[in-house]
Amino acid sequence: MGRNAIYLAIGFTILCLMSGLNLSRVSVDAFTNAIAYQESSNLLNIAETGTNFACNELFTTPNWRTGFQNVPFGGGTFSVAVNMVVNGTDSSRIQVVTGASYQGLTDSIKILLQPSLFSKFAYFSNNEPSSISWVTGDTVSGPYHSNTKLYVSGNPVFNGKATTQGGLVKNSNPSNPVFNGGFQSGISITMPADLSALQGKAQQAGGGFYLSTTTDFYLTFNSNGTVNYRTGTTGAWTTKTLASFAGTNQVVVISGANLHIKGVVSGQVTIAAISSNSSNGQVWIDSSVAYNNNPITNPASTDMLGICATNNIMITGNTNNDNPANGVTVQGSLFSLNGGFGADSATTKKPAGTIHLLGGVSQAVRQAVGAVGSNGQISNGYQKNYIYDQRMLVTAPPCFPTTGSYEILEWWE
Amino acid sequence: MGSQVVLDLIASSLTFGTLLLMAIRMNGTVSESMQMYNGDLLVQSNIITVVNMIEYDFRKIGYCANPANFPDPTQAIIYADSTSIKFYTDVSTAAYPNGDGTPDIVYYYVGPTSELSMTPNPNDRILYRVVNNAPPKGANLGVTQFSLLYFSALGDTLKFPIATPSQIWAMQITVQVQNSAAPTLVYNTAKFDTQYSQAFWRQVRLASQNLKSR
Repeated sequence: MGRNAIYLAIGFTILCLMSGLNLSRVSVDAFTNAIAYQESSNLLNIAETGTNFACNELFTTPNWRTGFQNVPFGGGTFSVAVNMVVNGTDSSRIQVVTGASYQGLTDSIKILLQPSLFSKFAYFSNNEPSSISWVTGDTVSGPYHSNTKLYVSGNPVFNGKATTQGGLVKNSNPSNPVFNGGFQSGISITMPADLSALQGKAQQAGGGFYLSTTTDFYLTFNSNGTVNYRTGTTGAWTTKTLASFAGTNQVVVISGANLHIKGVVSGQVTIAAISSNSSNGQVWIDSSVAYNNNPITNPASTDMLGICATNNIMITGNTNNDNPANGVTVQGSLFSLNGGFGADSATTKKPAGTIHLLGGVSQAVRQAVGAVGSNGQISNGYQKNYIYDQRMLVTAPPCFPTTGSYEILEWWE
Repeated sequence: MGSQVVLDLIASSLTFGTLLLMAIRMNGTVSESMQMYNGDLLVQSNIITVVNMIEYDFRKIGYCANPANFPDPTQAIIYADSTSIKFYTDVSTAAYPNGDGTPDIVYYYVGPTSELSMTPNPNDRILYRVVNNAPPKGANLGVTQFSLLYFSALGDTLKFPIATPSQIWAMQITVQVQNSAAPTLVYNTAKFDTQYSQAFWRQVRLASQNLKSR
């Protein structure tokens, strides 16, 4: 009897122990799951921190390639490596790889960066006048930036990412601007001090076409891939293929005078007028300049034109351009270092039709292309039909001015 | 002598019977507790599986291994409403762990509760993840709620229907998972909570890095 009781007691004890073991195992598993998720979240945060540290280094020091080695953070560590990425003949891209470790776990983040070029902007303004607001009906189809403030009135639409240094100012109430690509303030993008980098590319042996002159230079693009050019308004034209004329760097720089352009661009080239004199260093668009292969109808088009000037880029006032039935077509990315994109006698001449711009405008100060009367209609100059060239998000005209910093193309985590 | 034996027998029977009843009761209680705790563990495991899958994909909205094939990340989200979202990304494969450079379309949505009418839980539904034109595939992980809320770049909550998905700058994701079947409670009936074990997860603000670039 006593023995049986002992056996019974032992059996009960074993049964209870096993039940307790199973119950505690379930509890431990639940706790382990919760901790595992917490640890993986911490690990990702450490990796993101390392990546953000690296991005900060690159944005302040674009040639930073040192990376980080086993930096302690948040109970774990991260390491960052910066590698060059070759994409065909383009070796300007870099890849940042961050490896993080935490509690025996590892994770990585890879981001791809490329030099940020002004050609990516649909609209860039170093100094946006407070007297000019973006209003209801205005649409900017690509990236926008102002190094001052963004002034809005009503409900303008920004389809690309909009950034400013000074923030957003609403000049009317109500005003609900639409930012379809996002909005960030506190961003400063410095314009280059000069166009010497472009000049240097043109002056390399076989690198491009460089001419120092005090006489205006005339350049006509032909759809068969050739160009006609001459100095001054008299004299014979010289014809060459665009490729041989613009050299391996595909740049044309006129220093000390103005540059007049028109025609149909077949190929890729960046042209520039450089001068320290305010009456020179301007690009004049004497007639429409368009791509032979229109990227709107053919997104695979490789035709690309960069138009750069120390001072203004202007629509020439002449019979052809001033005819409202014609308007003016400009296809290319525009960059004006000290001036802006405007039209000759914009606020005084009769309505001259529409400027059809495909590309983007980066300028120091906004210039006028027309004037609006009290009835809201164009009273002088041109209407604007500006379309962003989507190709500029990932590519650019040859040797186009850069912002001096990098932008993130892709982020993988 | 005889009566003593009878008394012993009666006492023994009573003792043994009591012990037996205790054992049976304990066994039942423990089994029921085990079922409940296992159910809780299963729900917890399921929600972690769902959350890991969602976070893995949603953090790569707008990503493409070859940026030239997807130049404008603002167009990454194709469609978005409160219980579904369709977006471009570059799905990892065994051959291309970082994506093959061709944008893929990933579509998350929940099916109706009638698809899981065979489970005792009337609220569970299948969370589908569809890649490109593949047939919809989903697993019954006991999802009872999958809801999305979207915010613009200025922090405003976007109202449904969202006509312009490119306005989406960040999103809030809410997931609730329950047991598909709950144990029949005999002993632990004094529960103030619902019969089905459930787990709740919310990501208050998830912003894909690729939506903010360029």
